[in-house]
Amino acid sequence: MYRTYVVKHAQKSARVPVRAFSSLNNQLKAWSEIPLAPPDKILGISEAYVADANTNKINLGVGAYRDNTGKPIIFPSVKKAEQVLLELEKEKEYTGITGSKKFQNAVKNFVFNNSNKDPNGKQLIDSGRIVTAQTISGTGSLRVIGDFLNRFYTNKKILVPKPTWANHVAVFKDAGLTPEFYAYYETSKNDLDFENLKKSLTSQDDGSIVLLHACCHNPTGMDLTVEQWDEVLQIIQDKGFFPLIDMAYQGFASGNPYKDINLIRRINELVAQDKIKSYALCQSFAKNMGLYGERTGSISIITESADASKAIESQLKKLIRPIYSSPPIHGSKIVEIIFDEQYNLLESWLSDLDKVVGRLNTVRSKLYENLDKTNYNWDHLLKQRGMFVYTGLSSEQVIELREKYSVYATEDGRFSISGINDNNVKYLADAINAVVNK
Amino acid sequence: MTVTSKFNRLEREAPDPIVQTMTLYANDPSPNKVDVSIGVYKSEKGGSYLFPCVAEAKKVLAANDPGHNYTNMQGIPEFISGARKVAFGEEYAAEGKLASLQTISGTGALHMGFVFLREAGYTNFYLGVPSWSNYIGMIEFIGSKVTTFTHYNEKTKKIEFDAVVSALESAPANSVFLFQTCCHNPTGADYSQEQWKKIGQLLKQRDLIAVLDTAYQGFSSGDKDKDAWAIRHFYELGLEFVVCQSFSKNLGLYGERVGCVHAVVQDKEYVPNAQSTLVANFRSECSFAPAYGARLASIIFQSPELKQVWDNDVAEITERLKTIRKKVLDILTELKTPGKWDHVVEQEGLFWYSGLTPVQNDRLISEHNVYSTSIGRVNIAGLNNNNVEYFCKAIDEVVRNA
Repeated sequence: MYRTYVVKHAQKSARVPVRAFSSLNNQLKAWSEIPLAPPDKILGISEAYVADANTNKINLGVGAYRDNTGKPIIFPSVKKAEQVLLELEKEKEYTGITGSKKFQNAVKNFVFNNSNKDPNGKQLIDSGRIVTAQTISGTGSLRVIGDFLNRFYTNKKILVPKPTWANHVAVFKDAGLTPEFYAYYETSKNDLDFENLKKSLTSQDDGSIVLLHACCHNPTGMDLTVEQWDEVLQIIQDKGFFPLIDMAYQGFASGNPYKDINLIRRINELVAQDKIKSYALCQSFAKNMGLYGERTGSISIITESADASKAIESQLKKLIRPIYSSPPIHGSKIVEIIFDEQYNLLESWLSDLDKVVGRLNTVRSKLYENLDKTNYNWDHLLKQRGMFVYTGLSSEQVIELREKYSVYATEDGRFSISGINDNNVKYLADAINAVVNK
Repeated sequence: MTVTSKFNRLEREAPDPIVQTMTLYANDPSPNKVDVSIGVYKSEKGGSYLFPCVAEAKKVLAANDPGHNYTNMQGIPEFISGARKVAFGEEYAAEGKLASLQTISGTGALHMGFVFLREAGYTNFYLGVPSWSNYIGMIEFIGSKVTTFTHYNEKTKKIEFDAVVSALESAPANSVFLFQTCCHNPTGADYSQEQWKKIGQLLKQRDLIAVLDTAYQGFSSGDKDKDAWAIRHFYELGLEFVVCQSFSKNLGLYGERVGCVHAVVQDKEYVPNAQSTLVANFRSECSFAPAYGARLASIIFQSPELKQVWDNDVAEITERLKTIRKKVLDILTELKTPGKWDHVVEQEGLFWYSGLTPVQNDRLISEHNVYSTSIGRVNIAGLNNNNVEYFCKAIDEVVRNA
């Protein structure tokens, strides 16, 4: 019998109440020994990296793109869109609670209609069965759907892959849901654990919510094949699960965002056949347009009817209004311009993205070439996709890399490979070889 | 098909009343229509208004493009330090007693402030009414409770200060009082310095916490420092309180969502606790606040020239609002409109809480194409030399006939 793991109380338990805030209060003494809330792990790594004087130091912590010289980039297409905006924008008034219609339609057409390549998705759009709301990037969309499901969905349990992005668990718990892991990856084999994945999903309660990473699984980079997705979608139908898809890296698997959405197209087909009634999708343009700090993303709910859409949209507005009223406009205007045919920027964006992903793939291969395979099988590196390699190194080995070689990564062995470039790949591989062969 | 939806608990919610009003306005073909509903500043020409300091900052930012990388979870450092100075003044901002978080503008600041207070054990809120329509929903949304008291007397059209004092005197210790620092929404009726002193004294005596919402700083006196008097007074009293700050109005950055929440922690030892809690709470809601608008604000905060332009922008806007108020009073006096209308010039900021009845407000729309909110809140900035007379005649007509 496969055992499901109850997610350990992640951030919250380590969190410190701030009753001490009322330091004038008599309770002061009782709270004076409270430790600080722990800093975010990834941020802690960045801070330690900045403080390190070693000139060979490498930061493999943060999941944001760097070019071959180690610098962040502005997508040239994004820069052009901003120039258009600089010319055109004459005011900064509020957008709607769920963003502008133009943004919502751009997202719908891009993701669900796959720019006229997905007739089932088009049908869903045309029949009013998709409700899209602009959100505070990926985290905000996860939070809004978490709150929404907690309020209105019949089941509070959300199944997340083990491992998953650490903040998934924190966000869903904070929203009142109960996250539990399903099997995903076998660390000892550095491979997807598909048999246990199926078993652990099948053993779960009917009607649970299940979180699926659309592509470039974070942190393992290991995605399901088309056939494997079909098997999982069958389990979802059998168990009546509610699928919640997180798509943070659309385009980073193949270099082409239209190719990376097999899961969406497949699920739209099942919705069209009435085999799956409803699902939700969180996506952001943080990575694939490099709009990280502008907080540009969305939540879409695929509903059972146009009537249901109206109710769901009104509830989303009611939910968002007391949290932040309306989303920020700068990033969403950039997205609107890139998808607006009159500015002719779509092709140049696709080419920008393809270059970014091309570099990541080159770096991945170069790292692989330079690694010593005599004592350790590194083949998983070539199967993984996206911004990360999930090395399989132990936390002790990661710490040794940091302390001896100034290579900074999270202790789960996830390397954000955009921190690698022509100048440091040899140094990094040598460091890893030394640690592994010790 | 008889599938029971998994979302069968959902009902269709009515849209926000102000959204309904805006839709009616948008669909009204009349060339004379007047929009005095939503709280957005309009220029003398009647259109949208981009602050000259913001227009300039946009150029500076485009020329020195930092890109769109992730910022800090606490917020952009230059923004935080500038926002602190705007609210608390140079001196107090430098004392190290503030824990601050960049937020999704004012609503986000209030939300994170309320969540922060809940985490600290403070969930019992008091609110003077009438007030901004979103407050009660926001407090209840996170599971805290709210008791209301009378802030404003509809008959005398003045603050009901006895009710404020009595609420402060009777609330249990550790209750949270939510106040607006200036340009009260929707009444435009602000506390005098004497009244703030009394409020501060009672907060201290009775061990109460304040949340100061500052969404219109500068629009009362035309001087942002003067309008922050209550914040700085509370700070001097040694109170611990939360300030929720928005730059939507006083920089016109509405849609960019630029705001900040500050917790004043008098014992510096606990500032890191408050700071880390603010950040940890934000991590599970948004991770980061949006960069662009905060960068524009930072450019203005850091440039003495642009800061001067901003000060002038705010002063000019306030001057225009005061001029329009005066005109409304003059015209209504000239028309001998029944009733007393002095409150139009006594009230501060963007809003005039007219005191018109719902029937009169409906008639303003149906007979005159003048759109205010159903509670009689008029956005003064929607008026200008071209429509103020028309507007006043409409008021005169509904007062006489409805």
